[in-house]
Amino acid sequence: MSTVLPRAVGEGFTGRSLRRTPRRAPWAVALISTVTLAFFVLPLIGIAGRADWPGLPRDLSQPVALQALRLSLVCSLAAAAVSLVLGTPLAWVLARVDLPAKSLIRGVVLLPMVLPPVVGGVALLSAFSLRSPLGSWLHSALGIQLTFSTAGAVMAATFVAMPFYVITVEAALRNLDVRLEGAAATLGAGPFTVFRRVTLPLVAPSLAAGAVLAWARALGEFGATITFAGNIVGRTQTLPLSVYLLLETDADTAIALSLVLLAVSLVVLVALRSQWLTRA
Amino acid sequence: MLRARVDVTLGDFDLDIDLNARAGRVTAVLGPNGAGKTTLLRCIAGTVALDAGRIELDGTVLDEPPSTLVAPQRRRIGEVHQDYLLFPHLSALENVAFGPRSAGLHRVAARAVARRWLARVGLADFAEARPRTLSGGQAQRVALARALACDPAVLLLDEPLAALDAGSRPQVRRDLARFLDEYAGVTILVTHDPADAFALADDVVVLERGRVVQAGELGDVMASASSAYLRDFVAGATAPTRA
Amino acid sequence: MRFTSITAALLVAAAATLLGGCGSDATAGADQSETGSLAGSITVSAAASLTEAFTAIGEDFMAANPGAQVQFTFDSSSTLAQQVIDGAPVDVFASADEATMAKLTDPGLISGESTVFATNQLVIVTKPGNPAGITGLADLPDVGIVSLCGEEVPCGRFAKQILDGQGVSIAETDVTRGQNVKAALAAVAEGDAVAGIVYVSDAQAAAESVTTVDIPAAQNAVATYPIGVVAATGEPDLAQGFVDYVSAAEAQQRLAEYGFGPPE
Repeated sequence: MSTVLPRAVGEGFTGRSLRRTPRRAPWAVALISTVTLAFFVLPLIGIAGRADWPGLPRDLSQPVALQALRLSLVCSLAAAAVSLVLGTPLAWVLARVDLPAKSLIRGVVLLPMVLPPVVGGVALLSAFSLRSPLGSWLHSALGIQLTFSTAGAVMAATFVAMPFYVITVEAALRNLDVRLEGAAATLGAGPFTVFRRVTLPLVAPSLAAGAVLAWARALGEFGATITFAGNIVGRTQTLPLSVYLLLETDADTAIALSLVLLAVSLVVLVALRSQWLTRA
Repeated sequence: MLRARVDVTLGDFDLDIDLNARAGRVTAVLGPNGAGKTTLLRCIAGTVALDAGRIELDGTVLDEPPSTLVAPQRRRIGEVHQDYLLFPHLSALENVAFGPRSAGLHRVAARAVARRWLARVGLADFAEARPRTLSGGQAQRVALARALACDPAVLLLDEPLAALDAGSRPQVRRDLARFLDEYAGVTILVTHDPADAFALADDVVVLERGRVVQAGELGDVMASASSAYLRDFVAGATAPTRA
Repeated sequence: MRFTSITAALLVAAAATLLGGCGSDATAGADQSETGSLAGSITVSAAASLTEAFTAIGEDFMAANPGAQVQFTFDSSSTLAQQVIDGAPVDVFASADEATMAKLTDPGLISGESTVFATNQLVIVTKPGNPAGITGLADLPDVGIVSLCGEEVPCGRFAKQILDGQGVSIAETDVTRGQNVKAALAAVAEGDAVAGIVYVSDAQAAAESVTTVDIPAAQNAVATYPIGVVAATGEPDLAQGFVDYVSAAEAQQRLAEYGFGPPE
């Protein structure tokens, strides 16, 4: 071709990247950053130090602990799955459809993110308890009681977690070049084919990131769960509830369970890091 | 033959155009920014619907409000956008095969068609390459192959060479000219670059502020340049090419 | 905030002494309402079941001692005890059972000895009107979700004691555990739990939002409520003053109004 470096489509390709000289932080910035970092690191060190490491396997294999672990796994995964199924269409509508009062609608969808979880639980109770119109109908017509059930725990977790999913996916859909979908249409693809072969593959990484965020939030949910689903061992007592109660009676097991939660959260955050940085 | 009587208003911008484009010929649409060139292409492609008028291709009505509106995916129209708009998650081969597959061809058959087209644009070895690894000229050729693989009756080119650096343009322009010569359908080419028009076009339509101010064969239009834009345009063609 | 209140209290106490103010009366049960010159600010951690009664008693105390400020923290005795052990700035601790108080007296976290100031018994609460038709403890395993306190909370321990005493066993998957007795009550009064076991005083405080089913005295447990001054208090006089007040006639009257029994 020509001797001038060709300009490539997309992110660019020069065959040789320029190394940037490493930057040093000014001493004041470094100092404050260290203090800030310590603020986050010290509690982790603290709990690691407090833990009874040799006793960990024994503590974690107690029935109460195992039940809590199992329930947390089930409820958080279910909440993530529900978020994916119900949240994707909503995210699509928020990103693409011209709605009146869309800001208000988005505000309502994102409300559980800022609401104190207990308030969320109270709200769920008002809507779905046996005293509510919907709840009593569900009970009398279908024999379904959502409060004090594992399904209720999933609902509570989904309520607080889905907004994280929706906001991630909506952002991804917005960042998608709509013209690509137009190009696909011109090439003969109907709307569903466009979604399936162009839109979905391009936002798939964000769907995954959003689902993981929702899962992590669901895993740590406490206030809405204990208010709406109650605190029933083996049915609704997830990890955070278990830790709260065990703290007074069996602090070692409570700490062991806390470590599990911390470890899982840390792994999730580290794994997601590249997603956050590259999709910004 | 593409007959387009386009009457459309988008915001405070309105288009009122009468345009006929013949098969086997390249019709260049020229005009200053905001004249409506891209909107015209969108109307023909079907991503913008007419408010009034009629678009008809070889006797089939594509858009005639209020009764008829054929969706973009059902029009036999190929498009090459100035940003190429290649699907970043698909290889060059899969990009080119996209149209045939959407038309219902089985994956294997579609890929065979795509391979043939990639070979025709000289990129047989780049079948598995991702768009971001392609040079501008290569991407443009893949985009062209992708549009042609659908066997379109109309080829729309929206500033196809604008994204290339000045050094690559002449060669790519020559390649493009060769393809357009072989292509039997209607070609509509929107461009800012006088060199493109002089190298590629048979007919010329000049738009200004949503209206046709001049139309006709290339030689005639350029010789009797009646608008300031066109005069500058012609002057730009005879000046040494800048980057 | 703690330091400014200490400083203020010292200044007031000094002024009060100069003006011939009263000293603390160490004898329990002494009536101090006519002196009314206790001053300062204290925090009282009390069992959740004492919420209504102590709030009223606190207001009485502050009315009688205009210079005094009493703030309450209500939660399960076990939670509050743990907070004191962890160093929470609490001046007075009132528990719903002696076992929890022992957790503080044993390591010397309470000044001197604690005093029993009230008793309580337990009762079954149900939805208003008792739609499930519960007549006694034996019905509880079959009614659906039962609300109890957590097992380390005094009312949870008492409930277990009562149920075990009658050989009644409710499946864990049918029991929702509240972190304190008010939460356990709320699950019945506001939530969908069919029945629960709480203190008589709590059932009374809940009024129309629940219906009670008595537990016969023979089957019931008696909760004894001790109160003590936390050794690390910065307000020993005011704290002791409050503790004494609680055993005095006026406060005892209040406790009876709210459904508590006399200290035995």
